[in-house]
Amino acid sequence: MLGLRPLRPLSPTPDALLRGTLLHAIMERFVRNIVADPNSRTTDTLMRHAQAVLADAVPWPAARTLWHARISGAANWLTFTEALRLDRGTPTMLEDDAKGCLTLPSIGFEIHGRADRIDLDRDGNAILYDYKSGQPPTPKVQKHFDKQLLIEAAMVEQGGFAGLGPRPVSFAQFIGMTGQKCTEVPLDKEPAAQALKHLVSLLSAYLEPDKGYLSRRAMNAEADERDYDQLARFGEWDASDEPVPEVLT
Amino acid sequence: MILLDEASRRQHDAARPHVSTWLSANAGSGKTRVLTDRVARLLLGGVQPQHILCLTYTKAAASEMQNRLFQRLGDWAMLQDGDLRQALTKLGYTGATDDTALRHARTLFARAIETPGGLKIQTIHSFCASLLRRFPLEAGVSPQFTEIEDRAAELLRRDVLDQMADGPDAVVLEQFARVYSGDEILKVTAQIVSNTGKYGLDTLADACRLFGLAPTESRDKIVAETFAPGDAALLQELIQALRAGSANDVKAAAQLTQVTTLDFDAIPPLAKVFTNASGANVGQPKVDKFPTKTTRDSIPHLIPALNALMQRVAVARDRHLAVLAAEQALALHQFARRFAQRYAAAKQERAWLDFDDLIQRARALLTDRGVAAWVLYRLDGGIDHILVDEAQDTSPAQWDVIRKLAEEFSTGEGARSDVERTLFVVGDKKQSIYSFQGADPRAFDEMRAEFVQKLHAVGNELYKTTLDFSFRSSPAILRLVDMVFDGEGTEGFAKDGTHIAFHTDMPGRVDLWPIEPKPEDEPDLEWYDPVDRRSAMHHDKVLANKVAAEIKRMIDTRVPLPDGDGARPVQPKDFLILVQRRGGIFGDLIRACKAHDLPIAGADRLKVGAELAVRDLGALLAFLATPEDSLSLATALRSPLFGWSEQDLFTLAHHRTTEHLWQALRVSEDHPRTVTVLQDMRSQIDFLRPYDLIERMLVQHRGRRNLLARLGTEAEDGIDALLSQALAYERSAIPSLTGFLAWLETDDLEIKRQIDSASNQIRVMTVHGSKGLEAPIVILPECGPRKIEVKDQIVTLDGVPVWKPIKDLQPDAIRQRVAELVDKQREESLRLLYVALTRAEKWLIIAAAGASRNTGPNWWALVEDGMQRGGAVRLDTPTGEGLRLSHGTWPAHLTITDQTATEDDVELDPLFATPAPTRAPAQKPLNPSQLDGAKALPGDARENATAYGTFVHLLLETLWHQPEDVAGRLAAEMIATSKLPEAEAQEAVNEALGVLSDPALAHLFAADTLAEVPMTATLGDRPIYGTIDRLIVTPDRVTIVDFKSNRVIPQTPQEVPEGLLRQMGAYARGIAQIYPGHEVVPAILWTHTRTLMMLPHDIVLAALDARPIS
Repeated sequence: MLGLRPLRPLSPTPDALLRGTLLHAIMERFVRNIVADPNSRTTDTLMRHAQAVLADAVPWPAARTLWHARISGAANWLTFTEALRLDRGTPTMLEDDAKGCLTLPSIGFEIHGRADRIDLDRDGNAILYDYKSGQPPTPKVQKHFDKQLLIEAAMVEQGGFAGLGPRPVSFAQFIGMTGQKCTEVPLDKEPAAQALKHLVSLLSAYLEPDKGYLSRRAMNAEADERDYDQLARFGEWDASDEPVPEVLT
Repeated sequence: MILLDEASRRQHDAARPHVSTWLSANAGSGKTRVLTDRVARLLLGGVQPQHILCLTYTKAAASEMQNRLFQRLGDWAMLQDGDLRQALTKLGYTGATDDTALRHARTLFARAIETPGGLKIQTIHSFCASLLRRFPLEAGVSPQFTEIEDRAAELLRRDVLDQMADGPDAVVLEQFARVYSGDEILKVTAQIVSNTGKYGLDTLADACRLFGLAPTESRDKIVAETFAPGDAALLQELIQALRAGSANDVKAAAQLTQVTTLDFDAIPPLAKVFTNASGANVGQPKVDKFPTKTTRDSIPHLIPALNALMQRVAVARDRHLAVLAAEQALALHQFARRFAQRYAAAKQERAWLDFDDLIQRARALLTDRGVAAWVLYRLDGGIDHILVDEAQDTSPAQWDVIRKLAEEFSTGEGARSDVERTLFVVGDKKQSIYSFQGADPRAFDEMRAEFVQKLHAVGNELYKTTLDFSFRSSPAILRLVDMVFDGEGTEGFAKDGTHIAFHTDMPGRVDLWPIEPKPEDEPDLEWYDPVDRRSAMHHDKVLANKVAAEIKRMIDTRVPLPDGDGARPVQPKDFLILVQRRGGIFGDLIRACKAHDLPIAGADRLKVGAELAVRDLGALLAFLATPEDSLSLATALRSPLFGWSEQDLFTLAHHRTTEHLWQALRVSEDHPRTVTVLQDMRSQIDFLRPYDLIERMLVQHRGRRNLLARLGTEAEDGIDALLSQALAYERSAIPSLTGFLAWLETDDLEIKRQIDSASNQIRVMTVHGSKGLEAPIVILPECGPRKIEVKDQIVTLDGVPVWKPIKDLQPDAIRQRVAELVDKQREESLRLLYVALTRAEKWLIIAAAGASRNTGPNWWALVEDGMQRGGAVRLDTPTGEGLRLSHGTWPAHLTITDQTATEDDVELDPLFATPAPTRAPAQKPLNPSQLDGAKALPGDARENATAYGTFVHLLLETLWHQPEDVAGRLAAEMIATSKLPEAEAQEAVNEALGVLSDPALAHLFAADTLAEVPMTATLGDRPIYGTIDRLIVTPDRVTIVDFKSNRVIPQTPQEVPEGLLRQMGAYARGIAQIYPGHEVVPAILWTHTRTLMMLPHDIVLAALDARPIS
């Protein structure tokens, strides 16, 4: 709205964001490798990719060692569950080529996104995966905040991924490396089409001129910090104060 | 002789200076007073101040004690004989009180202050640091060592970790990373370096012994002893059968399928299926209970073998966990040893010592036989009397230092064996609340026993006594304390006797508010509903509001508070609100009090980086470093620094056509002041260091004033902390703005704030922070149950640190140890409750929010129980019907009302409301030689006249005291550098030398005359300033001589040009002010004719006054 974006920190640190990016890269390489050679679904292969990615992208020696250990702790599990995923479908689109775009003509809006991974099952339905380097979102968190895979599913159904064409989505899952846990997205309880409808209504509400943009909307925990807290003078007010709307021109 | 009550007699006894004493003192029993009394009596008894060492727990306590002592000694210095005698007797001084003694007492203040090295009242850390500074060589530390800051230490540990990962130690780090690879690794390393000596495990066999395993235990052995050859086939058959069974059996089958080979890693999944996960038989094999009956009946031939396997797996499960833990412990030790070595080396390189180092190095210094004797010999001239305060919180390492210092006392020998030495220790086991800093309350008793024995061995006795009387609290409070700690659930609390109130008539009350319940769960709104939702009213917030409202009501309705024999209205400063932790209701309370417009002292500790003012300055700096950082710029604009409104920013940001906000702002004409300030700041970034840059914004651009105006005075602490951070940064790195920003980004500094009890404000703090404080009204709003967790990742088994696996993977030994630690924490929580309750003088209010009473250790429930047994009655409270326990008659009416005037109401002298008058600019002094009036007679106009005159003056000034030949040579050189034409210069030299060599004028250039005398004086109301060529001062006359190189010489004084007369008049008047009582004689030396012309006084003054001075 104001055209203000936070910059990356001056001195990059080995943070969770980078760790997430790396996990994605490792899994992408691993899965590509398996697609090319089904026999390569081994822990060793996975760790070889991990080694290469870490050596390439992590300049902090200690962080590299620790992350290597962390991935290696989950490597068996990742390899084992990859077999289940391969049973369910065939990897079709991976990160770099899984770029999608969906136009919402009713409100003149475009959604751009990149899927971590899209597989196709035997019936040609899409299967969506999302890698999390931490815990996967709980059902409650999914219900209120984490709509990413649902909207992705809607994009697939509407043909938002060019190479894929419109297809039904049969299954969507978060893969959490820490805790070694997968959580399924309840497509049956909240169909993607419905999520999209809700998104449209949310977006159109924000397009109304009297609807303010909030710095602290949909907070999972009150203590969380957001990029725009200080700009909004959070701290001079708190979450339970009555907001005073102000019309800006 | 004054008759003493029992309580004061106990205090006197404990303060007897010649008796080594071990004192257990209840809360509020006046132990700080005993300590100060004792030091005062030692000094009175003739002990030199430098021979006393008084160890306190915190720096604040040290300065508090020092203040109290100096206050007392200072009073003595000013007292009349009679009063001083009385003061000394009251103190318990029994010696003669003749004039000599009184004179001695009056000198103590000066002596204590002026002692070289001072009276040593300090923390043990400061003492150790000073010891190491005195004996750096002996202690093996750099003489210039510095005490490391937490932040620098953390950065150093990070560096060391990186070095390990990159070097030959990579293997140990990798092995440890398999044990732990989480984000808190730096905290783990902090724990490691605080305990470096204990990581000695070198082999798996040693580690196994620690966990009760045979030294020969190994993974292979466990596998070999658990799995029999037929087991794999048995499992396959079992799985088949399970798949046909009940739902549980099918689930079990799925779990068993994960086991592909029967190796070490197969044990946990098997144990999960084969043993009970919970209940009374947890960990026991499900012999004859698994699978379900129907399935069991379908495979009767497998059951005996299955039961046997289940039994073996159950046994193997414990061994499996123990072996894993042993392996982890070994990896930890190997890593910790290398890490600690590298860290120590890195510190040594930088001459850094941390807090633990101070203690440990000092201890080593005093323990090393080779040097200890020497150090003690030198110290022996230093310390004869050791006093230890808050002894219950002294850690074992600190006791070691004290023990070593006291060794000489207890052996009875030393460099000066005839000198009397004593030890005084005061503490209260019940108030030991710093176990997380290494304190151990049991050490209090152990050390007492040790010192009793040691002193006894040399024929000395340790006098053990207690202070049971509370001078602080009303009997109501003390009865509650006794009741609470007599009750159930207080096992492990070292109750030692009861509390006796000194003020038996002091009215008091204890109120218990019912627990504020959790709110009904509001239905969450749907994610797509764009409502600006307000947070649910959390129970903490609700309670905080009720507490604040109640305080407000009490102050507004002027509730009487007993004071002496009467009653006065309550004031904000009477309230002390204590919480258990900073995370819970703490912030809500501060906000609620502010919302109710109550004066509140703010948080006693603040996160610098989270302060609004600091963030605002940070945003400004970020923008200065990167002008494209539009968000930071916008933040700074919206901050009080620039005070933009939402609309201002929106107009600029939303309607801009440029990419960056700064581009738009720079060309905008709406905010000239903002742009000027920003441009000024931007022009400085390459020249000013971060500190100066911030200061410039704060002072020159009024940032501090604006920030404080909007955010309140408490913002000052954050700003000052930021400034000192900037200074700290400049010490540790080459100061650059970007460097400083990066440094700030990763910083999470917290600073303590001293809350001033003198200002009339409500205080909110943690119980830990309230140590030693008291207040008439104490509110404990956070007494609900707290879950006790062992947060440390490293725990000790038999003194050996081991890694604590996650809960499900803990072998018995660790589980037991964790249970012990939980129990210790529970005991400490009770001691914390004791500290909290005993802060109150007259009124104690207990409240809680959230959970119901029956979960976990629970202060509220303990208090309720105690109140019931103490005979509490029902009471209406803001959270419902509660209880009240009271004593005495609470005053119903105010008897003292004039105390309501607080310093806020002080009427300001009207003087301060009027701006100071602007000062007239200082007048420029007049130069007498430039007063109006002609300076020469008609016909005396030459070119170069001024330059010629100046040169003659210079020659006379330079040459007058030189021998003739030198004068000639110098004159020649001066001609060369003169700007005059050479002929004229030569003429000037001739003229000057002529004057100097004229015998008639010799008296003007005698040795005792003054040359070139600067003079300042006033003429009317104008200052004058000039230089007099020669001044001849005799006892009764001052002759002022001015050289003039005029060509046309007046014959009489009356003919002298007016300007010259006036100049001489100004000199004469000025000199008369400087030399009153002297005759002043002005004279002109006409250098051309070498004529000295005396000017009559009245002529020059008449000329001066003839015209106005301008």
